[in-house]
Amino acid sequence: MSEQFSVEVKEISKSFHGVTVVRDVDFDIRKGEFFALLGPSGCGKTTLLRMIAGFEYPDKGSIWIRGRDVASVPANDRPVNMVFQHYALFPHLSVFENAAFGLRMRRVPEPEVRRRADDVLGVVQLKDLGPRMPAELSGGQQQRVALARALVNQPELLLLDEPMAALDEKLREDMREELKALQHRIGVSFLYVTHDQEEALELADRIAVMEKGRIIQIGAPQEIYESPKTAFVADFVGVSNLLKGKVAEVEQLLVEAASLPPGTAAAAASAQASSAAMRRVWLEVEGVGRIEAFTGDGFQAGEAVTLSLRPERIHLSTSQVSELENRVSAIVQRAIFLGSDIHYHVRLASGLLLRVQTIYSPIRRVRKEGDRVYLMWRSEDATVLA
Amino acid sequence: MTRLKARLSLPPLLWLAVFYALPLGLIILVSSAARGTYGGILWSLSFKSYLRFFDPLYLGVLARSIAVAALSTVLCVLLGFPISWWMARLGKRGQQIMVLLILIPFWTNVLVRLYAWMFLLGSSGPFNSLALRSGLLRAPLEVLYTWKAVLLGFVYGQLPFMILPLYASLEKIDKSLIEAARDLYASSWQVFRRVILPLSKPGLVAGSVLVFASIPCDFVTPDLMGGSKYALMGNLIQQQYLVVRDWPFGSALSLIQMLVIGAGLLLYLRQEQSA
Repeated sequence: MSEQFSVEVKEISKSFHGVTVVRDVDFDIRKGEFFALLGPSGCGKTTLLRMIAGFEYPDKGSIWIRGRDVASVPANDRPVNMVFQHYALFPHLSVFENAAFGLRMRRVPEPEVRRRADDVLGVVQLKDLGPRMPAELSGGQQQRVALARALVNQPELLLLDEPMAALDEKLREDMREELKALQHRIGVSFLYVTHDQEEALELADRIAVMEKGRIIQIGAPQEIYESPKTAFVADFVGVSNLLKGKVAEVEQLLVEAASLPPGTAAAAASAQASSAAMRRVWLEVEGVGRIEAFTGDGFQAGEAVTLSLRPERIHLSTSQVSELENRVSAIVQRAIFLGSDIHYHVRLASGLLLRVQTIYSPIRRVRKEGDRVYLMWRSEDATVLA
Repeated sequence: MTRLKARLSLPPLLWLAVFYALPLGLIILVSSAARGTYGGILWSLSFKSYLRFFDPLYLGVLARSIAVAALSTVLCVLLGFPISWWMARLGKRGQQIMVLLILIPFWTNVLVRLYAWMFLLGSSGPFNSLALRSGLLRAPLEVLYTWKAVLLGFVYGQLPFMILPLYASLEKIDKSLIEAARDLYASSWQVFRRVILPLSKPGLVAGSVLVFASIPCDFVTPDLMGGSKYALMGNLIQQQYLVVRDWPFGSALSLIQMLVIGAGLLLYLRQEQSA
């Protein structure tokens, strides 16, 4: 067992009444890491979390924490603690007694209970609210009690089950920042389950995207965003134009990854695949035409593919820009002004609808419905998906 | 708004006045009267009936009533808790069926239900004859007409009044609270002691009050199951009214019982609240 991981999950599966909910899931969380488990509802992320907490036992596989396989160890004997979706604070106990609960159950001596519970309430900035009852607290304060109650036990790993779901929008943003700062300060590993991609992108050091009981992709937020492995990931994390097409031609010559412009999808893809070389390909995209793009190895002429093109990667202009290799003309169908951004829905001659996102600037003209425009993007800015 | 409130509270107030305050006033009046030679009421103002109660015989009946009520309440808690807990964890449909099953016996007259128990417990009843025939017993087990049968009758009769409020409390406990306790290192006993028990207190208190308060008033169960050998306050009062025709003494007994039970419950509630 290596010392660098808080938990190592190996090949675990779980089914309920013959329906497989989690299938061969394999990942690890490094010490001090903020790890997000991202997926739509019903993808198995909560079941996975509950198996690590000890509320469910996997049908097969192992879960290693502090050098011990805890896959069949009950929850009250695992060095992990959980923040529940609706916090599950004990309504009959004061804030202080909630925070002290875990210590009392383990019969920690009274002076130490006092000291540690007081300390942890200080960490979550609730020092003066010790005597209050949970029902007297606001949603944000309740969440902090839930955090304190878990952290007082100094867990190897803190599990958080959609902790923002019960808060309103404005508070959610504040609590996100607070949570990130807290994690940074105390250095405990977090496993954060959410269906909100924005939350995952903002908070996590690494994200695991789940679909139908499997982990599809694990990576840093930027990697996941720039270089999604499947159309599902591209669509679920951020917004993407997903275009169907076919590989028309593959260039034999390899392109040095180092020569790719940094910050592009192609550069991220080569980093994710840790391959040093990329290949230029030409695609025949339905409703768009011939498109140039970069891929890793493994694509052949004639193969059906999906092209993922982020709305903010598309340059929208009335004049053509020569250094952008891909170009298609379109008509603005709708322009949505969102303050800092403008979202366009544009229609190609083929009838295909695309989404484009530009940054608003008062010196640039906002296009109106019916305007004829060019959509342009660099070959390195699209991702080719199998 | 306040006028509407005042109007809305009128019917219940009227109800209480007619069906509670008035009879109570009557009982207080009658308790201070004297018994006429032929069982009538001689209006007067005396405490003779109350003083008569301080006879070891009657004090013993009161003490026995309270002891039996307390013991029955404890038995109802011990039996009712696991049943209520099990019910609360059933599916929605299962819970509805269980509540129905608990209520069904109330559709039958209490006398019929007690006679059924007498038949079952009798020395030639099905329990005894089966045990005798199978060689499990040499002689029939004589339970009927003993204090055990009286206790059984009380627990049987009062158990639903314990289960229903207790189940209502337990059913409301969020399952994630139990998981949270588990997550925070609580053993099964600690989960029960620190989370389930305190959260079930409203139901436990309501059930205990219902059970404890109704047992001393019951005169049918001790009469039938105990063969009239184990008189409780209920029997005493019933005799004074219907047999001896000493209404003043019966009224005094009723008031004394009310005061004692009321004071007991008040103490219990106060202690529960501070705990």
